[in-house]
Amino acid sequence: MSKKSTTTAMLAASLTGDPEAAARVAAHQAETRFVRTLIDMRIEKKLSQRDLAKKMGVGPSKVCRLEACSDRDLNLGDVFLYSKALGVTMSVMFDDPALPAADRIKHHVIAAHDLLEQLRKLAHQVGGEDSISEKIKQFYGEVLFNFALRFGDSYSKLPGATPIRLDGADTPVKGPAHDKSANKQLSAANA
Amino acid sequence: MAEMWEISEALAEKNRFKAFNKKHPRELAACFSNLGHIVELLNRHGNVGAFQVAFFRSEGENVYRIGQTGVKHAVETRLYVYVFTAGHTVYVLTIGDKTQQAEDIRRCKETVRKFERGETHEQEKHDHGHAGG
Repeated sequence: MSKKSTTTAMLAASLTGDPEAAARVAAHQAETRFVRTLIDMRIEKKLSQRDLAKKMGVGPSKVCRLEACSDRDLNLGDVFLYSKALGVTMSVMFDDPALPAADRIKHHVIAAHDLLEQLRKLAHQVGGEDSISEKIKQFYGEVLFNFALRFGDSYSKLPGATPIRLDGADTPVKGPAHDKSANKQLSAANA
Repeated sequence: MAEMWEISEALAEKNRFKAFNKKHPRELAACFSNLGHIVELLNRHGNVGAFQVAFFRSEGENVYRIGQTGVKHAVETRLYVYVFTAGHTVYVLTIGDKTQQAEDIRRCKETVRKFERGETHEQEKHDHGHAGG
């Protein structure tokens, strides 16, 4: 029987006898979140640092240094090169929490619409009979359903609002993370 | 669903962690943060052979070192762990800087050999009994 700790922050505090060690571990995790995402994407693509460096046209030590820095020390140009070498497009979204919620929602709706338009163009390119086109139509339905479900839920909680009930709302809906076919098509559209 | 990996302090040299934390708290925190990332990768990919990360290196006999990242002007730090694949557990062993690495690795391998021969049960029971949260 062995003692097993649940998080590395708790483990650090336990081994050092210093409760502040946990906060420092959590802070480091927050400060390197973006770099971790880059590393995770490289591993998902089954690329070594050397492979990626070759694709980026730089030496392996450059990739090594990039993956060893904190988020605040990252160079945007390097991140662009890195993601391009992975075959991943990079989009930056500035979300100002000081803006009214209504403006922020509009911003997200416009961004979602842009992505849907990319899919629509892809569907036109492959033609109406193609299986990709069918999957895109199905995905549009899922997006609409998911949006309506969440919109209805929020709206129903407004003071004095009449609850909205969607028929079949108990049906499990695929989240974006599970819909790999749609993600692949979106990637293809971006390529 | 695949079995999740866990982290254990049953084989850890606690005094070393306390002493190191007093001198180099930022480096220690970075190493533990990176340990968390390694465990996430193990949960996602199953084994250490499935990924390559610069701060995670094999020292042989299933002993690995985890280095610090993201700390400016850092002391080169190594957190040593034992990856026990059959038990889906990462055992934290000790921590030290680059100057002590040869001796640290020797001691870590000795601990792992004892563990694999089943000679550390008493130590585990002792640690478990005195865990205190």
